[in-house]
Amino acid sequence: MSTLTDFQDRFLSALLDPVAQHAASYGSGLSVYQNTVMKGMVDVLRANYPTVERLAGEEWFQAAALSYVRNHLPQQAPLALYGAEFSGFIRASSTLDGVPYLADVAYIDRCWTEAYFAADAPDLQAAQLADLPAETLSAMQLALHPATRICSVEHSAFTIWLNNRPPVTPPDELEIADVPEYLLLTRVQNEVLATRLEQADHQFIEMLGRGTTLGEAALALLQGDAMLDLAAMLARAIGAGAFKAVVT
Amino acid sequence: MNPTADVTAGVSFKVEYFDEARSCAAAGLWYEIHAENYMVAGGPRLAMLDAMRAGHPISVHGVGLSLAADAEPDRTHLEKLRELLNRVQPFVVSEHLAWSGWRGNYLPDLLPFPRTVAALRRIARNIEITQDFLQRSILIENPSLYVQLDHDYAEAEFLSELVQRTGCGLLVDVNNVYVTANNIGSDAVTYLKALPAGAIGEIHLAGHTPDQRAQIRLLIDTHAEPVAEAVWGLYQQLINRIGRCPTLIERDDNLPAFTELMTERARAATILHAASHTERRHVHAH
Repeated sequence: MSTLTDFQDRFLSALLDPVAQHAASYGSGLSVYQNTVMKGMVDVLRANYPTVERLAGEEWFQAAALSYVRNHLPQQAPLALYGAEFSGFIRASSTLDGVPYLADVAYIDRCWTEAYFAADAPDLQAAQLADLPAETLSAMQLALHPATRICSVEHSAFTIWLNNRPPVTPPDELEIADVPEYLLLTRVQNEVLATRLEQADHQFIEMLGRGTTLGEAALALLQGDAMLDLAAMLARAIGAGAFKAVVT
Repeated sequence: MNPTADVTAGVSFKVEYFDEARSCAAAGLWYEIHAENYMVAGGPRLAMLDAMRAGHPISVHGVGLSLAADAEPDRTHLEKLRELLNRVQPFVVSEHLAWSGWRGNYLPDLLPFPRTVAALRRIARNIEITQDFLQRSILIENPSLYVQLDHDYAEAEFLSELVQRTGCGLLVDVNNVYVTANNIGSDAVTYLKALPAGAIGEIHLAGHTPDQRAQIRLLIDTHAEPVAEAVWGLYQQLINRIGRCPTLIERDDNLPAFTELMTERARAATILHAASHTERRHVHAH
């Protein structure tokens, strides 16, 4: 007599490979399970990559999603963060000549989802740093808020994303410079906010996020451009909610 | 106040309904959430849940524990579930007689299995592990079935065995009973009569959709339609037999206006009010 393990192995292979020889033995009801499983995974991708679907169209998205899910089965029951490799999958796709920005748009959608579900934590307030002596401040490391994501993208993907992410109404025409862009995602009062960054601001937050002290990060940036106003850059990043409150 | 003393009919909570659901003051109203949707680190979804539970009793309904897999429940999943239960303090916790996780993969569906002696032993053990870990009893829901398998036990008999061996309760999904009876050729009335009345801690009512493509007319448990009249009829018979029992109008797809769902909910509440009061041992106060 076959065991429960044997049954599950056989049923799963029939579920995932409808042309498997023994699939027919389950009758037409097997397709109900196949449809539910596929729909479950594709629906999560659709929820997590709304800008990709808007730009590429429903038909392309459905086909791409089906192809993705077959090779990327979820590893756990909570599906909120399912689809982590979808932007890489899009980048490798051969059906996308002429839309070079789509993988980067997917990447921003992904970062948005991560920011949305990240852990709660109080933000750093500028007042927490206001009275600190210069040398204390200089030696300080600031931790990024768990919901903070900093991204650099090509092909003006941020401008494209910002103008197309549902529920916004896309403009009739969008002038695209096809340049690298930088952005910061933060979660403020339970809403994910996207802020455009200058390259230097991106570099600054990125260095701080790696654990570089404020002093070292400032020095490195000023070597590149002595005119940078680091105090203003730090104030902007704090104002956007990029950092976690300092534990005192 | 004992928030469960007067719990009657509830509805599925969906984020789309947040404002109306939170402010709705209907007597005995409660909400059910799918556990896995709230197994996230933080953010607005959990904030919404906190706001909901402040005003209404909540039931936590798991879809991903995979109790009918030939393996012990995933420890990480159990830990996340326990964390969620600590946060929500639900009046009832339920899972399915089905599997979805296998060899490191998770399939988002409730998959069938042959009800054998070995399966009974395995699933009873998995329910015990879960109840020990969570330090509370859970309800087990009957699945909707679409394929014929070789079973040693009838489903109602299998569920009764699980109740006896583990002390778990039952969540009776009347629509699933109806859908399965149609798809597999069993008898819904006989099935419902065979369930141990005292173990039933919750009832689900949902809508189904006929599958147009299949050669045999299958009914699919889509939760995308209003509850069918035939299912209301079975529900009335079940309540006549077992007395009052928390009942959920379950809707997951093709969401109607909240008021429309509340109209169905009122119909269940009316049936419950007319029924005799019965203590439900698997339903807990805070």
